[in-house]
Amino acid sequence: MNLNRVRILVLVTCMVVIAAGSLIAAGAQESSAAVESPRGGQVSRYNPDYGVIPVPSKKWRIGIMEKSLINDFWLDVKNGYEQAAADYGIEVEIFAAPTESDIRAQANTLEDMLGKNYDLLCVSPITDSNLLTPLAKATKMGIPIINAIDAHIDEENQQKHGIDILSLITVDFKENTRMSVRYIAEELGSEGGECIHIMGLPGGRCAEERKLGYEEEIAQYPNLTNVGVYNGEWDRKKAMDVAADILQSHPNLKAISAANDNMAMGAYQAVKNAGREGDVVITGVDATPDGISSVMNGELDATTAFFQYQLAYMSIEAAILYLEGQFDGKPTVVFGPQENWSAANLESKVADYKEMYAGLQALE
Amino acid sequence: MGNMFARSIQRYRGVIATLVLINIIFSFASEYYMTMYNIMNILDHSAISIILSVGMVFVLATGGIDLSIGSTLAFTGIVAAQLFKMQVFWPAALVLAVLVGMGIGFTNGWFITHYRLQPFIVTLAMLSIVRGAALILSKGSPIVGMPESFLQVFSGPRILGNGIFIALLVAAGAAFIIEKTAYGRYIRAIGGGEEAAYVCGIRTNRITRSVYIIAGALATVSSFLFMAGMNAAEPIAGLTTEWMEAIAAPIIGGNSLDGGRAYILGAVIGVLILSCIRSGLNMMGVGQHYQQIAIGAVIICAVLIDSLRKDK
Repeated sequence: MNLNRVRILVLVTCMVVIAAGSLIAAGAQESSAAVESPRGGQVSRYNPDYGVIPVPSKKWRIGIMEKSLINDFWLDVKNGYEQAAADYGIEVEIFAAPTESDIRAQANTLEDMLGKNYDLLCVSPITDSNLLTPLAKATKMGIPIINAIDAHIDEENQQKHGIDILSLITVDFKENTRMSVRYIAEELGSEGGECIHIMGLPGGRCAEERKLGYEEEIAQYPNLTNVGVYNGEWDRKKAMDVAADILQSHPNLKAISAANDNMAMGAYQAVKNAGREGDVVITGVDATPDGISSVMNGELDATTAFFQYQLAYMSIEAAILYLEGQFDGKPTVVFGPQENWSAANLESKVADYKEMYAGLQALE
Repeated sequence: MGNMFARSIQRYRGVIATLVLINIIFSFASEYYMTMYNIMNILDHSAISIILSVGMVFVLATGGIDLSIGSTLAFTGIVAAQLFKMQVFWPAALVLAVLVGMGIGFTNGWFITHYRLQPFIVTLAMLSIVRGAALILSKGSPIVGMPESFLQVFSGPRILGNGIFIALLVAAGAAFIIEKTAYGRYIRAIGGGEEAAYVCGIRTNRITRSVYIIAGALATVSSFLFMAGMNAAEPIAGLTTEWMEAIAAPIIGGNSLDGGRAYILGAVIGVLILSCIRSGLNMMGVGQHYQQIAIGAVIICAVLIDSLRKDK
């Protein structure tokens, strides 16, 4: 009897702790969405093709599903959404999967979100297919969908599953690594040499497309030899181990193209350990703050920057256009801009974009 | 019958109280929680974890653990999807997939019993091997598009799909086996003390192998629900949440890593508790990071209660 009382006491205590924790968390989230004088009635900030974005006629509620919130990239995206929402005086609620591989949890969370009567959804699916069922449900419920940043729900799947995607606003991932290869080709000059690609977790669109972009572009250069694509699973340590092995088996390796900065820095560590620093060109993708400081320190040679904050901001602008009935004739597929950042142009680029990316501000 | 019901209530008092309490708290915390739509969602989302947890209860009862079920879920799903693509009659494809799942379970069991290796290590190795095989067989991409009649059976008319009914059927069958058959007693006896069980004439190796085969088969069944739910077979299915929940839920429900217990209903309620917490926090708009803390806290509490019970 006594024991049971202890048991129940423990349970109640734990429930209270959880409830209190959640309330604090919810409170913290609300306070971050402070509203200033709304923007609107001006030309779109980042996409001139959208023309003038109207002042929202009401406080629209938009549900956002990101891939995860565990790295700078998705935090920049979150900031982009939140800034746009604050600028235009609308409301966003941001959700994500616990990790970038938790496909089922993302689908389940999106299904939960459908019960919250949002006016519109912006989703970044983990794979091309993991959100098909909840998105079909959303369409059936009449909720408009923007497919923002990352995996695409393509035409075929849209038709097959009865999903209406209002707009795709994303990055051309193939171009990410194409830029890396072009940079490598320029650096190695006419001499050329052996190159490898360290890819992200297979199965995701981003990883697979960056791999394809590398393979397709490198085939354009007869003096560059692709000696293989290896799996680094987006992980710095794994990329380091893979690179260390390749440096052993291919002593003439001249360049490493990694699918993100994190893995590029792992590869750099391996190159350094092998005593071949400065001898191998290393490129990353994403222009993360760590990646950029690594380029500044002369470790990585280059990274491909694309502008996730702007993409998120544009998604909100597209949402407002649609909800205000002004989306007709606007572009439905938007590929954001991207740039190659290396020691040559880094300083001016960082100065240009510092305002939007918290990570860049922290650099100095 | 009435007696058994009373006994169940007695045994599961703690978890049932937790489940009720969570629901009361969330109903007040969010207007969107206690809606028909959301309750259906919670049940629908619980189906896969219930089936995986039931398999895990068998393994846990013998004092073992199976970390490979998430990978098995992915691999057997890809096998079935490839067979669908080859125009194999879909029920036959499912049977073949179940056999593959049982084969993986048998391999686990064989290494564990024949070489006396630790279940943790064997199934950890299998987690990696089977995941690799799933990625190879699918070339790293999801396989989209399932036969229409397959979707009808395993997903069914939307809002409340058939998944939860299949899951509850599996759980009921398992509860019957555990409560009413000699086999059910044997697996608990092995968990209670393998040597004693052997001396009593139980063929411990054979029984131990069988629980891993059951876990493999049920992981395959859960992959059918997964595929039907997503309309795709994903090589990265079951990478984390699914198999961790399948271990956490039975423990929350009073099962023990030390073996000797097999509480199916406890595991089912354990899954519901986790699903309700996830859903409730989503409805409140609580961020993902906080959710993970909440879920971890519940698991710790459950283990704490478990240890208090053991002191008795």
